[in-house]
Amino acid sequence: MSPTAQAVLTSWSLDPKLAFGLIILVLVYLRGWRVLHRVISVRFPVWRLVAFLGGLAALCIAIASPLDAFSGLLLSAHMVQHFLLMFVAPPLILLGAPLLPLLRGLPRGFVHDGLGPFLTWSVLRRSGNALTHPAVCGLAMVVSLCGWHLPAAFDLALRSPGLHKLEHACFFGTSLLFWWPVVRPFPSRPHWPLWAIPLYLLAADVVNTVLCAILTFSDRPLYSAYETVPRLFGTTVLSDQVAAGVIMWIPGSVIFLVPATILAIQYLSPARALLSPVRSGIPLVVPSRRPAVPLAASRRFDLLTAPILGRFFRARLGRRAMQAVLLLTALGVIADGLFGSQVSGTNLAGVFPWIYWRGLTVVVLLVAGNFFCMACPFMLPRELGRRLGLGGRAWPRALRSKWLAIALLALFFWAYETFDLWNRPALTAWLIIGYFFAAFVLDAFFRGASFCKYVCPIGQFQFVSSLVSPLEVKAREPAVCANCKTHDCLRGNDQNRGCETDLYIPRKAGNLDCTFCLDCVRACPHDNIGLLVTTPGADLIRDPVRSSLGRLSRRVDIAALALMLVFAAFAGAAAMVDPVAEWKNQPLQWGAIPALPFTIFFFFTALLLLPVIVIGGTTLLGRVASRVTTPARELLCRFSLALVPLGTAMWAGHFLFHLLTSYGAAWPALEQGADHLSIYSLGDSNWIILSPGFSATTLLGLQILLLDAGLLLSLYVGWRIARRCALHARPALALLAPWAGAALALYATGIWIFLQPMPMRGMVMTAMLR
Amino acid sequence: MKRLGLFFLVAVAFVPRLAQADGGIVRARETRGPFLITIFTPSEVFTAAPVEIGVMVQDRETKQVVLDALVKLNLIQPNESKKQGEIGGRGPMTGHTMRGDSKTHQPSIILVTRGQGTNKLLYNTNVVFPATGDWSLRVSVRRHHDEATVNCALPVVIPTGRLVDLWPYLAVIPVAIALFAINQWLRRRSANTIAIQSAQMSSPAIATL
Repeated sequence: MSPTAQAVLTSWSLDPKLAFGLIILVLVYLRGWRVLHRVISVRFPVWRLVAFLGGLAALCIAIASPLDAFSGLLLSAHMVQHFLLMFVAPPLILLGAPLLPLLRGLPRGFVHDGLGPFLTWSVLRRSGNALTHPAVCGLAMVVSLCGWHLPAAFDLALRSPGLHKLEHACFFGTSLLFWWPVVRPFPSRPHWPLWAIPLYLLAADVVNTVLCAILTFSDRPLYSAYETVPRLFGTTVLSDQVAAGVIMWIPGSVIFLVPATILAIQYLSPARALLSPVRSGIPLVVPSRRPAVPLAASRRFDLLTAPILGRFFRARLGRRAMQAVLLLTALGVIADGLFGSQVSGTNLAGVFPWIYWRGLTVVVLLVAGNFFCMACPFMLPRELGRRLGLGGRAWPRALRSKWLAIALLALFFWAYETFDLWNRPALTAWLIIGYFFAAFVLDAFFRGASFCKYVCPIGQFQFVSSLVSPLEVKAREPAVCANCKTHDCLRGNDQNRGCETDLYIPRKAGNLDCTFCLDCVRACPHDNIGLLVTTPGADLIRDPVRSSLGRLSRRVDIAALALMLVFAAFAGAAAMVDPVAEWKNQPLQWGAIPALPFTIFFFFTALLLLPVIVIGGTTLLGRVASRVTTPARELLCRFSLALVPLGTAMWAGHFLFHLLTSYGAAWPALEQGADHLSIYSLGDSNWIILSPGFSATTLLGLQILLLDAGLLLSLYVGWRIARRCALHARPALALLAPWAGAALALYATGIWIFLQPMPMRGMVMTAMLR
Repeated sequence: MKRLGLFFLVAVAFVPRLAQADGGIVRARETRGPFLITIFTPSEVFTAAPVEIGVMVQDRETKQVVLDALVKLNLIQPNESKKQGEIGGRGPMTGHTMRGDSKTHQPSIILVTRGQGTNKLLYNTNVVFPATGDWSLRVSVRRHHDEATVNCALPVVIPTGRLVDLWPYLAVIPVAIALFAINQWLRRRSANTIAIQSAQMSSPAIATL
């Protein structure tokens, strides 16, 4: 293949956001189609699935293939792109009858409570009815087709990427409408009789023919944008224009005439009356040959029943293997941190903990659950201590709360900024050594997992963040637990230990204090515990009596922990951006205030004073305004926890920035670390690979979308809590409003932080090293 | 069933932004030496955000695209430019992760390679301009013993506001809140209707029927 052809054929680009959206769409459709295919296979045969996927594939080809890359250089390529957007993708998608599969594929609760009221709303029904009327549909397509092909509009779209996207969206959207009366996707009802549809198609073909004739027979270039671009493949502007006109004309007419003929034959066919499924206006449902599967029988997804992963997680060796990998990593980090280069961005101690571990941990928390605690290498010293026979003491009663962990977390956040931990590999190494030592001493001398439950700052971060995780350790069938007499999940048995953080599975709710160790799973004699899917954040709405924790509405320490983590997310990210860093440094430059008290003041204000004033004040204000009788302490605790989704989103946005902008740093750092430690020489490090493969705008968009999701979930949780405290909507709104204002202010702060220049502290970027 | 049309309209409105084609507008197209050189940039070039610059090199005679040339970009800063924050006056930055990487001195001569953008016939690079003004853009093309240079001016202006570019992401919040409010209103209305109907059904007048 010639280099030119190769270059042309490799000119693909699929926007990550679009790819993500399409994957979700396909998965939802597949889920719904699978169920409907079993129940009413006559309505949802395999060809509908193929048509839907084919339509999406055509859409992808139109906007991500070389057609898109060359649409600005060749009018013919541009017309093929439009042809796919208007005449291929829309009818194929509609042939997939997507409404029911998509509705069936979405979570049932969301469809019932979220979409249900809209689907039955008379205003929307009437609007939808009017919009899908053939007259409206045809007119919309003709206006869009002719309007955008006017030279001024077409040239404008070529010069502005935003307008170009709008043009494509118009073509695709109006074409979906145009093909609606033709395809009549199940279970729609026709507005016009069948005989009118071939005429509708013929009318559209006439418009298309006139347009294409103008394009084909014009003796001068119609679109000036193509006169200035380089000519490719030996074409001239006019020959390219003629080719474009023919492409739209001939295949376009075929696309209009074939369905017109088929529909005309159908109309004239004597068997039509018998075949028509929607004659009476009521969808005809023909029972499948297979027995119908009751839709309500579906159970929640359980990761432990997954073929390979499930077996891996259940096996004790599986956890040991994960711990061993992280232990080896930690040893490498310690060695390189102590003895390697002290340039953080090229040292394993600068790269692994502060770029990879933080970013990956938060991603796993958001998409799965607390798997870092499952693989935590700091638990291995506990096993060693037990073998030494030092354990057995009970954790002091006075320390059985989160206050000690809160103090340690505050200390860590302060030390991180004050001592530049991200930029000090040796200090990072000592921190990890200290962690191992503390875990060994505490767990060697005290019973259970006291270190995890009451001390470990990382664990507390994981516990709180996992309140919005989609997986939780839970009983599969509560009835089985009700009849259980042994309670091995808590007490353990001869072969397996029980829960070391004292969580009794039947009364366990949510992920708080759960380390995902799966000891309970192995101990359960009934094999009744799984890693089940749960609705993220749902645990923040409920307030049951939880095993070992009680009601969260009465746990001020847990609320304080949550609040500190939320505000630390914003303070930590803010401390990194230039304006805040400058503001922080100003008093130090004057020389009036020494550095240490100032940083202490900054973190005391950001992590303790501000949360108490803002959240305490707004919650109490809401209580007064709404006149609810719920105790103030309970409201404070519950509304503090309701901010967890927003805080987790901010952590995720911040850590993902570091992870995604430096995702290629691991291998060069590993090469250099191995070389420094004289383990193995892997050659010169190639730092050029650090360049990420996406734009800063994409990353910024991802960060803002995360914050959007966090804020919306927080507001929803807050609303549900308010509705439980107030009988009516009006007082609930009054209770929520001040707190929601504070949440919005935090969100705005997050957006502002993400928009600021963020120096790559302790990281090595491509531009620096080139 | 007619709702599907509305559903798709809403879906289209929220479809993530489509992939942007390479190229932008033609900033310069000149025949120099044995080459026909075309420089593409976005229609408006802003400071403090990555700007994609593309170069297409063609054979002067055959118009065949030249894929094995060495292409360099030299960006010359205007003398009286309005500097933007910290990064002003330090020369443009290359690469993709420009946001905030403000403390580096960047090369003003950039090697431009193929394969960086979508259109693999173009030599592409991303540049962040730290200051406004009329920058001079000089593209040097070298292949074997042939060499050519094209110059053009590139006006760089202050962005109209980054928030404007981010409106689809920021609009998610008010749209979601509005939809939720309508949802709650509809549910309450539906519950009230059912309650009224039940009350009417259980009223003595109907009960006697």
